[in-house]
Amino acid sequence: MRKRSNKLIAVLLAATIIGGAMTGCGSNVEPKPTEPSSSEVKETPGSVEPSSSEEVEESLDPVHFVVWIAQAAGSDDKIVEKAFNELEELKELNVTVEFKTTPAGDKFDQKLDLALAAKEDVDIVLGDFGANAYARMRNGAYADISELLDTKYTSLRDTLLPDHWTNVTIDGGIYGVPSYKESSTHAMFLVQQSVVDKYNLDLSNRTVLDLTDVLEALKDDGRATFMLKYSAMSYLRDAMAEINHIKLNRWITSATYEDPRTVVNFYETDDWKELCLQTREWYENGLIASDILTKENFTAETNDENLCGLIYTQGDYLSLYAQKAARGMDLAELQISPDNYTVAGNNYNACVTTTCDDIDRAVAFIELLFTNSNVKNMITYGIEGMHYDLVNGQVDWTNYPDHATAWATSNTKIGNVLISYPPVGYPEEGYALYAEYAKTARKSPTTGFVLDTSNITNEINAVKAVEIEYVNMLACGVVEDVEATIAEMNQKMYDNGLQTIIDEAQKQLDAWWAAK
Amino acid sequence: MMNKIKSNQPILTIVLGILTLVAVLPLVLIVIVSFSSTESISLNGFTFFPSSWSLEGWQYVSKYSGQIVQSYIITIYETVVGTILMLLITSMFAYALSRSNWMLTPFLSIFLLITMLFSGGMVSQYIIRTNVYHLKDNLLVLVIPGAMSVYNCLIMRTFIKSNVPESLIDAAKMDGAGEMYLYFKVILPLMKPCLAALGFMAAVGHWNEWQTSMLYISDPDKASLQLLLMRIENSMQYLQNNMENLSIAEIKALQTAPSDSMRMAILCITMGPILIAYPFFQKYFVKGITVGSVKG
Amino acid sequence: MNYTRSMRIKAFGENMWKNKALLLLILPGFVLIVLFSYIPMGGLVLAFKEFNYTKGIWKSDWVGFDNIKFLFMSGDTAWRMIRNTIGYYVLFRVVGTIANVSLAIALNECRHKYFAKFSQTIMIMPTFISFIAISFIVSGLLADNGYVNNILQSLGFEKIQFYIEPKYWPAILTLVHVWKETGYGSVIYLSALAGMDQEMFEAADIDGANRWQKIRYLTLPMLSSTIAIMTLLSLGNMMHSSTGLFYQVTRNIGALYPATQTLDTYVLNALSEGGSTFGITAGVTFIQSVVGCFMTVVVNLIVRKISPEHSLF
Repeated sequence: MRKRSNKLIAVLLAATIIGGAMTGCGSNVEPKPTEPSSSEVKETPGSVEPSSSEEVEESLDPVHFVVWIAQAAGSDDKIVEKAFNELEELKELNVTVEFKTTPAGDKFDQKLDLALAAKEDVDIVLGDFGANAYARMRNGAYADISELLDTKYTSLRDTLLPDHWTNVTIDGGIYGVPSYKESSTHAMFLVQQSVVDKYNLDLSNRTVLDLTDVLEALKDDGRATFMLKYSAMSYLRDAMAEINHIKLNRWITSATYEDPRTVVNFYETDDWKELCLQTREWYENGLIASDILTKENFTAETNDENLCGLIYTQGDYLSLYAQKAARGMDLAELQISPDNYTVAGNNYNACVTTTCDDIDRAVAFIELLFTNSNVKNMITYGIEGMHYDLVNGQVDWTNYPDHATAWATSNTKIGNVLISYPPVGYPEEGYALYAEYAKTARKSPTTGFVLDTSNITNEINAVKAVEIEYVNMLACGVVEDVEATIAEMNQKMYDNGLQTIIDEAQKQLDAWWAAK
Repeated sequence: MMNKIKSNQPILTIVLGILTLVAVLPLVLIVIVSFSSTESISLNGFTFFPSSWSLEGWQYVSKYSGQIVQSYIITIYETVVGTILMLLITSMFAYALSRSNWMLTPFLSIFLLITMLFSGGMVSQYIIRTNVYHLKDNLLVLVIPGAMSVYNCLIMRTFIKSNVPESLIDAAKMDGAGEMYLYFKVILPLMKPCLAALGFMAAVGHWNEWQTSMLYISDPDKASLQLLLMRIENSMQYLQNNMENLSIAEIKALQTAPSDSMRMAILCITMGPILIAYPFFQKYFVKGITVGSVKG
Repeated sequence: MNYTRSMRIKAFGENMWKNKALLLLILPGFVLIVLFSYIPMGGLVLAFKEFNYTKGIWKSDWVGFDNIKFLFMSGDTAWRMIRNTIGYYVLFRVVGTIANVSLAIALNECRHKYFAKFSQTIMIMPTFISFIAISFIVSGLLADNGYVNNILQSLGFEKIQFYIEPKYWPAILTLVHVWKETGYGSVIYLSALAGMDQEMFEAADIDGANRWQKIRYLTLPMLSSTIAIMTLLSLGNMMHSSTGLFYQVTRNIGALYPATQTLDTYVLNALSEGGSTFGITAGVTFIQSVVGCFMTVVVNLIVRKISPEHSLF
């Protein structure tokens, strides 16, 4: 009796599951056929190009784009959208857009991923950021626009330096347009000018190791020192590593400026050991917060002029002005790593999805953001007189304290910052300084090399976990026996496959050098 | 004998008293912090005796009050409809499942169990709910999927089996009662403690629910209360976690928001209604009900 | 007796017809489960695929077990996190159930009804406190200059560095878990107690049984089926752990990993910098489900041998 009823159960269950799975199977919306990009370079009758004004202007079919922007939703989103659609440039292109922003507090990445997976209405994504953006590019969410860039939209291609396209180029195809930001950065601490004056501090020529006198001055003045919480102390590692090493993907696969052909593990170098020993000394002398392990965040100290210690940021030397304006404090810059030319700074990308109906026109729209000041300024700052005032060609927000909750973009995330208005307080030459800055920065010999991690994802994930386990502890100085712990850390990383990673990286690097 | 019984009570009362105190102290702290000023928090941290009081946290949250009435309506709808649906549909299933002389029960048990153990994942659910069922931006998505709860069903089945004697059911059947009558007039009343307990938990689940709303609801008029509050909380969390990489607007936001007291105020708003509503459910399962049963 | 096939089918058909009202009762629930649990279940295959947006779930490439290989890269780490996950499950389950049942019985026995009701209402509140607030409170207690260390100092003992020594954390985490969940967890046992037949207790009173005897021989056995079902239901989630507890309260401090690293926090860290996570999360969930399923089936079989009425199926 038991056997028969079990059989019956098994059959009924199998039927339900299979039936269910098959229904789910058939319900997936068919993807738009992705043919090779050559078929997308259609001859749209007389496209209107900013750069080719000799062509005959004929009428274009109206196109509507749903544009996802990686920014917090603001109260004036619809108003700006309406004004945006009234712009001459958009009317010429016969494009109307609909902005989709994410309510503050929601996870943009998660929502975008799900919308893309369900093939919802997403045509263009602006400000797609970081590792998640690159993952979306690798996994077929975005369209390859390399052909369009090389033929019709060369002006878009030429707004960026060739090196800047490195991170968005996968197997010869280009899947996003990086927003032009600075092309060199360094790590820095911003410290209150009043402290500098009071203790006569000389802020030049320092590295992250030479901070003892600054820290003592801050402690003496009753302030916080490093305002980095436990999990952010790894920024000290970055500042240290940038001095001599080049990050080829993660610091476990670094090259040095001295020897750019060999892959080394940064955590086995003397630089790392020196840093950990130094932070241990600071911790023992009370120069690092004694409750660094449990302190939730330094918001209170950061916002208080009397308690504010070292504000960390990574940027160019114009960052100082932005921070001063934002915080309303008189700050001085303490640079702790050299000016390094970087292409990784452009982590914000404008992308066209594979489900977009008219990829050609979408790229034309993106080109506007990079070549046309009117379009760029409106999408960055909103509407003049409603969200900002223009004072001597610089943007002034004093009369608009709530502008950030009305329309919330950031200048560097979308489009070409060089054609937009600078904020009030920037030096006269404004953005022209970026170009100068790029010229004088130290350029890494391995610029253009991208590590292909598809064969070593598992090892990387495993080693990443070990890094997280040890790096913050060592960087904040709470570990007593520094050398033993570093040895332990490296041993664990090798147990988790570090050698495989290094070998693979070396192999790829050798091949890259050989091809040069 | 009466003396013996009475002498146990003081110890019991003291123990319960201590446990209550341990449970309530953090709650009191949370309320106090929500009324503390930002200076007090930055100087002294979380303390029962802040150096200065302020309504900043509450004022900040009330800036969003434009939406509050609407979101209260949505949340009440979701909680009431969702809980009633769950109790009804799940208990019907549980009752049928408890009939030991029905041949389909082994199959159904396994049918339920598999869903508890294996799930298609969020991506698959999202794709099917939006593309196939068209539940995107539809208030039904808040109440329909949870209307049949496997976990609760199995608990209810156990409850029925251990607390409803077969003799009762047999007697009713001999009197000519059909299954429907049996279910509505006999079983449900006997299940009151179980329904009250599970109903309370389901109501709390619906009241606190925000993730489904975040993913599926984009119309601001359909946002639930918890979604509103969680958005404020999450955006503050994001700002505090990424302090080194903020844009100008975000730096300003972090400067002006009374972050800690505001978060505690949000917590109070979440817990308050539950504290008020709980006694109504509680009376069903803190003892006071005598079960009238069949003699013999 | 020999049961022929046709006799069996006939018996089944008759049983179905006799109980047709029951079919009606299960209909809404059945449909809902098929719609919302079984149809999306096809997504399980994501665990073995590398998700591509253009190809969708069904046409993406198969990668076999690649998605979860990183968990087992190092034997030591894998062992540590699995040991912690299962260990804490057992610890929380045992201590938690004892606490829940004891509290339920204590509240039930209390003569002062208003006090019991008030007390119970307060005790369910910790469940709703988010882990962010809890980690504030815990660090306020355990930090270098926190309450506990101040008391230790005033009593003449040395300070304890709680956030560097892993050995205190199993106790700390269990305490936090019990504090947070017991009030709420006792509700279901209270409702079971409230549904119990009072006649037996009256009979026991007449026979001269005292309070403890009544609890031991009447209350506990009658609660046993609820205890059994709650435990069996929890087995499915054995490999899941609360990230609020193990990640936020412990502040993800590496020194504590030997006692606090579980499968979920390990994966959370590995995926923390972003990138494609669909396949990996699906793969990890799959493993958790398989283990949970296996444990549920095995334990259920054991329970069925001992006392069939307590088993899940």
